[in-house]
Amino acid sequence: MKLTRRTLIKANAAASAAALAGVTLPAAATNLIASSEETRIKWDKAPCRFCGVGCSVLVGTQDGRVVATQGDPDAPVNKGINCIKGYFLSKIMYGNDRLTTPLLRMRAGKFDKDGDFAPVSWDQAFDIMAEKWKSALKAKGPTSVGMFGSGQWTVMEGYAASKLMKAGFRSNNIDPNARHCMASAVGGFMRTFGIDEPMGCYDDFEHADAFVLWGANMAEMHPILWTRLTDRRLSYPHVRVNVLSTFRHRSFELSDNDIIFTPQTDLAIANFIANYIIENDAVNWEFVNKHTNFKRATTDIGYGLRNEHPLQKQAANPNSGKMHPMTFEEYKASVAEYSADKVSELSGVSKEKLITLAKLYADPNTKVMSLWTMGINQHTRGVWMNSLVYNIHLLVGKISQPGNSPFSLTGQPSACGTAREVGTFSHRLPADLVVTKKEHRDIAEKIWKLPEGTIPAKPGYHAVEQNRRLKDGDINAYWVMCNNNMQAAPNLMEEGLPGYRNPDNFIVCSDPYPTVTAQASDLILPTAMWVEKEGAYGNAERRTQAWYQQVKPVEGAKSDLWQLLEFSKRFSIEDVWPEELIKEMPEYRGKSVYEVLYRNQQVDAFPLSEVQELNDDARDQGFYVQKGLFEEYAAFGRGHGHDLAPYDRYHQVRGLRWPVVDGKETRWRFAEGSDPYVEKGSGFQFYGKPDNKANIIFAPYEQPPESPNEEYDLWLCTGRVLEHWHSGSLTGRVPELYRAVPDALCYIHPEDAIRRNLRRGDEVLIESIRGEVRCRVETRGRDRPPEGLVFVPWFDARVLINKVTLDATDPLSKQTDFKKCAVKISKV
Amino acid sequence: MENKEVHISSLIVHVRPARLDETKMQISRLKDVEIYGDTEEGKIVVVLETVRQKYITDIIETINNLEDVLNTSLVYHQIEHLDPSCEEDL
Repeated sequence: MKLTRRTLIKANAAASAAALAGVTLPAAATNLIASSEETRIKWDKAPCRFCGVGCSVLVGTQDGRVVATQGDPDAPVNKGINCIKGYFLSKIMYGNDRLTTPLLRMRAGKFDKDGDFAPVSWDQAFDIMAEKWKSALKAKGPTSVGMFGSGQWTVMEGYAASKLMKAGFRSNNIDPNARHCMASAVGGFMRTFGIDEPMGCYDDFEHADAFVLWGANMAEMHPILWTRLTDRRLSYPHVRVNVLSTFRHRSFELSDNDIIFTPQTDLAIANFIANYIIENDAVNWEFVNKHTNFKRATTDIGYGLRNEHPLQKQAANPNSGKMHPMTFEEYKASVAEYSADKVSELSGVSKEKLITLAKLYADPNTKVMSLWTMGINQHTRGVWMNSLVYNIHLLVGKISQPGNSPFSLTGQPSACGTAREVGTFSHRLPADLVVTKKEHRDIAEKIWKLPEGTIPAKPGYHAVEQNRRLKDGDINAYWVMCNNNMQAAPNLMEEGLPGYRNPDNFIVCSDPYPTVTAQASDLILPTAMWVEKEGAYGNAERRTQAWYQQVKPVEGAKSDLWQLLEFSKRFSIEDVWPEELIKEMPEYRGKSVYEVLYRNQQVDAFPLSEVQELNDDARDQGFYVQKGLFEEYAAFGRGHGHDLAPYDRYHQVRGLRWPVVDGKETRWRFAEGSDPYVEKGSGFQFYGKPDNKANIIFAPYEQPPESPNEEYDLWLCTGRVLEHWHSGSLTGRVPELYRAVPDALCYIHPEDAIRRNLRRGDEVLIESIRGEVRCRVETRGRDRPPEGLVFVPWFDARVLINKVTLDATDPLSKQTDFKKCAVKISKV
Repeated sequence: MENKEVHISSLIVHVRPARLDETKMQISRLKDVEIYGDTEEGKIVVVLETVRQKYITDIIETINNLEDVLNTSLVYHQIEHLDPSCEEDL
């Protein structure tokens, strides 16, 4: 056999795949590997930059560039495989239009809101930023500055940003883009369990007998978990897969029970299942009596629209999250109206299919894993809906055991690790603490060595509210970091764009690429990304993973962490705190915000001698800044059910699932023998609640804020596709991924197309009462909507579908419903 | 002979076990594709070699669209500039 470099690389590629598939290769092929001169490439681990699954990849670098990637065979999450996005990770940093210098809108050598972008130095960039922040703070106080962050920030970046805003500027106006994706999940966890994030873990995939996808298309959005689910289904013929959705998609290829329901009726379906369990005497009484309380949600709570919106005015109890105790008999009576007949009619799903689904939950011998993401979370009743799924699992006691698992998936690599656990929401602090509680603020102020009263008690503006407040001129200095919110947020034409272009406002956007958001801003800061810096992410199964910097950033780009810390040096404590607060700790007088927050003998406690050779952020600050931030942050959760391991350990392992107690991770929370916080003899303990009981919370079906009518006669649902991640600002720069799916299409039923005289590929105008976009229709592709509904993905900057969407949110979680609004479609 | 960029990559294609042989035949007919092995459970190890202008995603999409393919997982990807010396024996 001729041994060439080509055959060697191919044999290596084949061997990696064969090892995972359990294939034995001919000896000739494997022998090649031993003689490999792979030393040319340096390999190191990193979590993938994209979704919330949290796969580990091996990153191959050569001459300061990433040239190869491989699924990490030692990673428990992905066991050596990648999805197509992870596969092309090596290319996301090298798009042709990578930003390399700050850009400021200028005219005649000076900042001008109507000027054109021109290169400036980092010093000039921070000068104008500091000037704008200081004048806003002086004129209107802390609520006039704001920040929009990300579930793609590293843990340390999110923590540094949250501290800068809440303690430095004393403004709670910081919210992450995770508000658009996970806020309803958080709301559901806090109401039902009193502590955030899933009790189960990915090990459940190998134990479940039935899977129920509640409005999730895992085949495209969580492909590696879908591989694990596929493996389980094919290896064990008794396993059943149920797919619930408002349209057909790729996950239906493996489905045993296809359920296409009318939008919003998932609320009724979940209540039907609870009713079926009670009617068929399938309640697990021992579990229910010992571990649960029954509650009733306050109803008619509005739709999170502007207060003057007619629908908001009509609501009897706008935004009320109050819950009332109820008995089991009252609960039984409440779900009784959700009969198979009634729910079948409401949802459009046959009674047989509904009963097949309900039986799986009711059967004590079937272990059920429920899985959901945006279908349930992006929902004007998303918090209710999360709890309705928990209700089902709690009634039958199918929770916190291998394979019995209500599992809330996430969309971003660190939606859990950064946005939720660090508490970068406008109402939260680290480790599930909230700004509204004095005792929680006290804890944060003590850990941060700050005077009592530093952190404001009133929650700041959430994501959608920030855009409204920019438009109204209440927020005047605003920093968007690590996300593309102009493209992502709803109702772009009426809220987002007018807010950014309001002449009273100064908008800063940090990004590696010139996104739609960057172009709508006044100052663009070029950002280092992923393995151009050291960091840590936390995935959907509570797994915290860290990585080292592996290449130098593209020339001119700086990490988000560097940007935050350098900006904080521009402020003296007198610039941001009132005299009465400084008086409490006069030792801070004359110091910079940077010194007070980050040179506090905690964040700067670890010396450069512990740092890897390549770590620009640490070397720029003169101390091991990532470790210091991580350890200070970890102090919030240790001993309180959120325990993290010592930082260095995360560099030795493929992540650990918190709580990590005595060096051991936790796979099933709330279960005795698995979770160290559960007392002996209790079986299960929902210790997030004072009485150790979880809430079964009744909430009814209520109508969506907007439904198709005579003129706007179609439902619009938006979402993602496999090849692109979120707004496509990274995946769109990878030629292979761009070419695979270059344009967003409008997926439509063939009959709906015929009725509008449309043929496949025709260009159409999609209009709502708020805005319009043009795109081409697809009647055959991978997504097959029923009559009356269209699906349009949102990754395409040339098809800004959020010009059309409605900015209605769940009134409790403030998360937008991107899945339901009314549109009309006509041929262009 | 000038340097050319090639992409060498490997996949595991998961197919319905009962249709393994037929699907292998269909895959083996594709250009730039080699099958290195398979299992009874329906997993096929596939290696691709493509030059820059020919895109890996097209092949993956083609394989994904074969009737009995349930899933394609990607394992390894390397961008290599093969110069003539690479064609010499090691």
